[in-house]
Amino acid sequence: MTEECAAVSDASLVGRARGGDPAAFEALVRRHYRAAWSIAWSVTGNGMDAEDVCQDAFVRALERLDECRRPESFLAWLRTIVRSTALNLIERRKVRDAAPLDAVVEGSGPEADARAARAELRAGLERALAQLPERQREALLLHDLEGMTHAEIAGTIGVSEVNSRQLCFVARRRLREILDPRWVEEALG
Amino acid sequence: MSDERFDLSGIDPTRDEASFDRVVDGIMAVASDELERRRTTARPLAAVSAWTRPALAAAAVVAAISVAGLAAVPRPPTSAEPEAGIAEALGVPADLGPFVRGEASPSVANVLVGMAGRR
Repeated sequence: MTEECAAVSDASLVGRARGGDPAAFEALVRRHYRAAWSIAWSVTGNGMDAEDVCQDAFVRALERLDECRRPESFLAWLRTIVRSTALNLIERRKVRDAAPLDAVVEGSGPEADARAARAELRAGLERALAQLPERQREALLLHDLEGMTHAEIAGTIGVSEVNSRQLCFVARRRLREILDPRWVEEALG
Repeated sequence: MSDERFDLSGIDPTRDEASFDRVVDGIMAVASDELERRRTTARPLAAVSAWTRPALAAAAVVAAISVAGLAAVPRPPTSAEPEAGIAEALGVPADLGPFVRGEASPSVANVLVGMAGRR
């Protein structure tokens, strides 16, 4: 993302993207990808699917950009597209195995060991998150991964700020119950 | 209620910059047709919108000059009886003028006299 775009508001980027400015659209993608991925993940419960959903959703968002009536709240509008795209994917697939989470790590040596450890960590975390109700996952990912405030989450997913805080609290408590205590200790620093 | 964050960076899709760049490149590649379509559509609209403001400004200047010019032109004296002027313009004989201005209808005799007087 260019420095120029980094400081520009969503409303301005949306306006420029409507005119076909690739830099503006790319800035929107980079700015909101993690939030979109979190929302997609909370529906699909799978990182690979979330990635596919994000690609489709961003392109669909571009195609329907003129329908975005409040460009300053672009993420809230994008969320509806991400969710419907994710739900469509689930509808199409019905059942999806979690094979990509346990992808085989090839090679040997310290680098391969590190990759394997990261993959194991990721898979464990994804499995644990998958056990949470969708609303809790969404709030937790937006807060703890994307770094949004509860006020921002409230405006994005349509709950109250207090409700967002509660969803995160309950989600974390449940994660602690599910995950290996050593890992939880590490995750909480 | 504790708000202590969980470290979820292990699943952060943007953590690996190179892989995130590939993801963004993929989205941009799929979006390129739509972006091009939007650029093509935007050009004529931009040209029109670029012309709108100067054209309106020019029209306002022309209107202001016209109003000032019209105000400066001396007006001919207004007719005391504009109705008579209308009757004349319509070719109504002068004897029938009062009937045009009034509500009474002319009799056949009045019309004949008026027509005769015109000759």
